[in-house]
Amino acid sequence: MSKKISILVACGSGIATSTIAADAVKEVCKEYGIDLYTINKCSMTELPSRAEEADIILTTNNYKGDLGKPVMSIIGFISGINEEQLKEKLGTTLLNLTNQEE
Amino acid sequence: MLEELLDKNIIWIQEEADTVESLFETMYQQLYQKKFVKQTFLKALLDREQHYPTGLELEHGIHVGIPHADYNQINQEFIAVATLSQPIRMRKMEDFDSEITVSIVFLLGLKDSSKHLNILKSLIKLIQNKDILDELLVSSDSQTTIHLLNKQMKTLGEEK
Repeated sequence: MSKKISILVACGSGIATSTIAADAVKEVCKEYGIDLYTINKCSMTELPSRAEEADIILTTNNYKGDLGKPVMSIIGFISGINEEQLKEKLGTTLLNLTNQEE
Repeated sequence: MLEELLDKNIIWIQEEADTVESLFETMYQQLYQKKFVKQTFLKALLDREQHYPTGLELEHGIHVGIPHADYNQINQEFIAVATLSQPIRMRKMEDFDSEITVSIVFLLGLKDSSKHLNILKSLIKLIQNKDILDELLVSSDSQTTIHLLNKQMKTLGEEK
């Protein structure tokens, strides 16, 4: 049984880079056959209060602190540096989350 | 769409600035005068850069900044561009404790980024392309820069 995963993408203002990154995350989901997911965007300021709703948090800025949820940097979708490795790592991580039991 | 965002009045060529703050100040003066932004824009931009910097380290070695402020600071949407005579220091987006030197700054004044997703995606492809950045850096007038950006972003937008 796969479960629906909730992905939260955060960037400084929740405007520019999270929009680009969220689009790239959707592409990865498609590539890895992940259909059951929701994706939301927020700003870094909103992040602590929004973390609870998410299964995984993806950020373009560094977040110093513990949110109690897995956090992954997705700056590679903006800079293009190691983008292929990032796609693979993200795809695998999301698949693992999908397959986890409630 | 892109044509509407670029304006020759908000392109800076070979701009001399010592710090990113002084560059923002220069750009703001013009943006405010031309009514693109509200009076509070500069403070919002500096605050945001302080907490969440926007320096992007790129593989090809020409680094860029993509600063932007909150949508409610903007009257009319725009993309302002500054090429610098000497690179200036900016802190890195993914690690605000480290600095890089940037040669070009794209100041993004967008209210609704979802509406501009394709432009943002083309812009990201553009900054990852060293040849295009090299061309931008040697451009000596704003019309050439606008023409180049329009042409290249259109091409990049059509690629998969």
